[in-house]
Amino acid sequence: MTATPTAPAGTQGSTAPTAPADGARRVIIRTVGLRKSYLKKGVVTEALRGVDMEILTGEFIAIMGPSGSGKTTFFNMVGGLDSPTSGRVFIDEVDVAQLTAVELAFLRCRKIGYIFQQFNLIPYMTALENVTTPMAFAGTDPDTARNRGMELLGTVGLRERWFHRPIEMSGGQQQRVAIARSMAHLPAILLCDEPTGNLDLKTGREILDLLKRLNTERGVTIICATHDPRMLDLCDRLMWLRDGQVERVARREEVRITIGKINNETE
Amino acid sequence: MALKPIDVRPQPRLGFARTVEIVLNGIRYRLFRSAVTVVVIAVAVAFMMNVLCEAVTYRSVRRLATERTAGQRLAARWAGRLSAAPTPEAVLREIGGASASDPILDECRRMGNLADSAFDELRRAAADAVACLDFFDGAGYAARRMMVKDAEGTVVFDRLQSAAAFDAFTDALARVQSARFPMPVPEFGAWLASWPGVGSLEDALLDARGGFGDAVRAAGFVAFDAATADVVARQAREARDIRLVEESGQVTDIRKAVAAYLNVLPGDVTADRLWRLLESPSDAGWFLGKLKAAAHPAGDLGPGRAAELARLRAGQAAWEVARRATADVGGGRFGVGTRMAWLVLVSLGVCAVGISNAMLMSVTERFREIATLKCLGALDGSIMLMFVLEACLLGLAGGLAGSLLGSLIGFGRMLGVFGGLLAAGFPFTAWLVACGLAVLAGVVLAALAGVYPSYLAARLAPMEAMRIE
Repeated sequence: MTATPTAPAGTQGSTAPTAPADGARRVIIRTVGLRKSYLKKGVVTEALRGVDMEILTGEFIAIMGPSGSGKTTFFNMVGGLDSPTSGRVFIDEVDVAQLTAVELAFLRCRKIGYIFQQFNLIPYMTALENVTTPMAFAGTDPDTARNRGMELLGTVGLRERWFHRPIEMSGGQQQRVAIARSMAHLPAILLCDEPTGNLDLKTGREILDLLKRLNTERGVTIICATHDPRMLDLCDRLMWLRDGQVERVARREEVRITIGKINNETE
Repeated sequence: MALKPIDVRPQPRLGFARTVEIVLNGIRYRLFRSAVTVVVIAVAVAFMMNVLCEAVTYRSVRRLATERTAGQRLAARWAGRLSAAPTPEAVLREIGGASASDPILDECRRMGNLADSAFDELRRAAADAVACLDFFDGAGYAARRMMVKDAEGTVVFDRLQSAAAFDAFTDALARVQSARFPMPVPEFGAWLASWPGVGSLEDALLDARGGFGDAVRAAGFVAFDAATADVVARQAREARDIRLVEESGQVTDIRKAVAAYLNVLPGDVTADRLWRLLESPSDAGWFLGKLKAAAHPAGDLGPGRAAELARLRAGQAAWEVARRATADVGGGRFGVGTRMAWLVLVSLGVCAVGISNAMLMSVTERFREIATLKCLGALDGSIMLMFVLEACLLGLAGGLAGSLLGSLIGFGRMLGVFGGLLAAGFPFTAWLVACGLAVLAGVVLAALAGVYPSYLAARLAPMEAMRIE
């Protein structure tokens, strides 16, 4: 089925990928009839019930929705972290389901960056080691990896703290290390699962700014599952999920006008 | 900024050196937890090593004790044989019951001055005679009386030489339902006919046997090689001297004197006390004086000789105790006895369970870490290698510590059981092998126990792994 946009006319519908303003942009992620159900103790839970979505290169997309709406599941499908029950995910027109485990590892290592709510840094590695781990997996030689790692830590403003372990850093700093790590191979896509969920307002704001900067300066496509209303200021498009279906897709400009109303609708 | 199109290629493997680095880093970070795992493995391995130490010690001590006491047992056997009354039955049983390689056969042949063929005949006849004698001994009084009247031993065969007596025996045998004669009756008749010949052969042997003891001594135990004969003769002398001393303890005068000397009650003068007294040559001199005063035979005992005997006897007693303690060791799956083999197997099982548990815990609590590594592009194989390597390292550390600990405990206990004998019989090679086995068991079990959960974790999709936590 198709999640027909309920937004007013002119909304970037999921089935209408052409963005008038960005003729050069390609579709980088396309999902077709994406379904996922979990079987737990004999009870089938349908987390996604047919999601069709297209995301363009360089877009900053926020996926919103109440908890249990399937945000994280969608995010995992798109990131090649989990396999759909049915339907397909194309990343740059490559069907993820067709990839072998070794190719998936390559994809996850170089083409997609992940940022988690729990940061998920490796606790026994220093900030620098955390950042260079994906490079080690990619077979980069240690000197190059170290230089690039320091550079990335500089980008997120933690160059001086490269030798600190995760427990010696604040949440915001850990998240910044995680962002530096996700950028290790300059991925085309950055998937963020509630990146500000564990952070206070101020640090959350810093992280969001950092993400926005990566988006505008480096052209990284950012897909962000979030509850954070501040995301509205930064994203290009918003996608609402409800009960495993796309409820609505809207451009930011449209949402800003009717923000109160939407909140009334969705709450 | 235009991005390159995504091209997908196979991900390279993580280098081994880098994997080791990550593993060591991880162990260093989780030092306490890793130490606990190592301790668990060490305790399990120590348990096994303890049992293995016991097994190898028992085995080694048993071999030594059997060796050391073999001479004594041989001497005791000859002494018993020489002191037995030389009845015809005794000689028949000795020859008929001996196995083909028994030195007694050789001795008997030489004693009786018999040709090989004649002796073989005697041996066969003796075997039959022993079977018949067993039959008559085993028959009830009434049945026996019916068959052979009041004849006993080899006299039975002499009695049955007369045709009337043989007929009476045949009739009686037919009537005694329960009796199973060892050979068919006609055959027995034929055998009886040859009996006088056998009897004369045996008589010749018996005559020679009159001076058997002296003859054997004079012949220097011809069945043995010179070295063994020396050993047996020496042991026989020692046994005699020891018996002399111990018998003197039963003589009232000597007993009283010793009791007064030691300031104990006469009833408390035991053989052990006596021997402890004799350990000092001056006390031994005093004791020999008492023997002379009581007109007790002292053989060729002198003070030095008595002290030496005391030490010797202590050593022999210890070896004899060790031999008895290890008598049930041997055979079984590993040559350490069935009971011990079971203990080893059970301890291996305990070791396996302990290590599996430790490794399972260590892997399952790190599902999130595994999932993160997968998100960063780690291959399933790299993750498994990481965990198996870690398991091997922990297993190696635990195995080494455990085998050391187990050896200390095991040999400590064995020192308590066998005392100084352990020094003479320390099974160094077997111990090294056991250590190697224990370390190997630690490493292999840890690796095996680590493989399965890490295989599960590595195969899971990253998000599922995170959800499990």
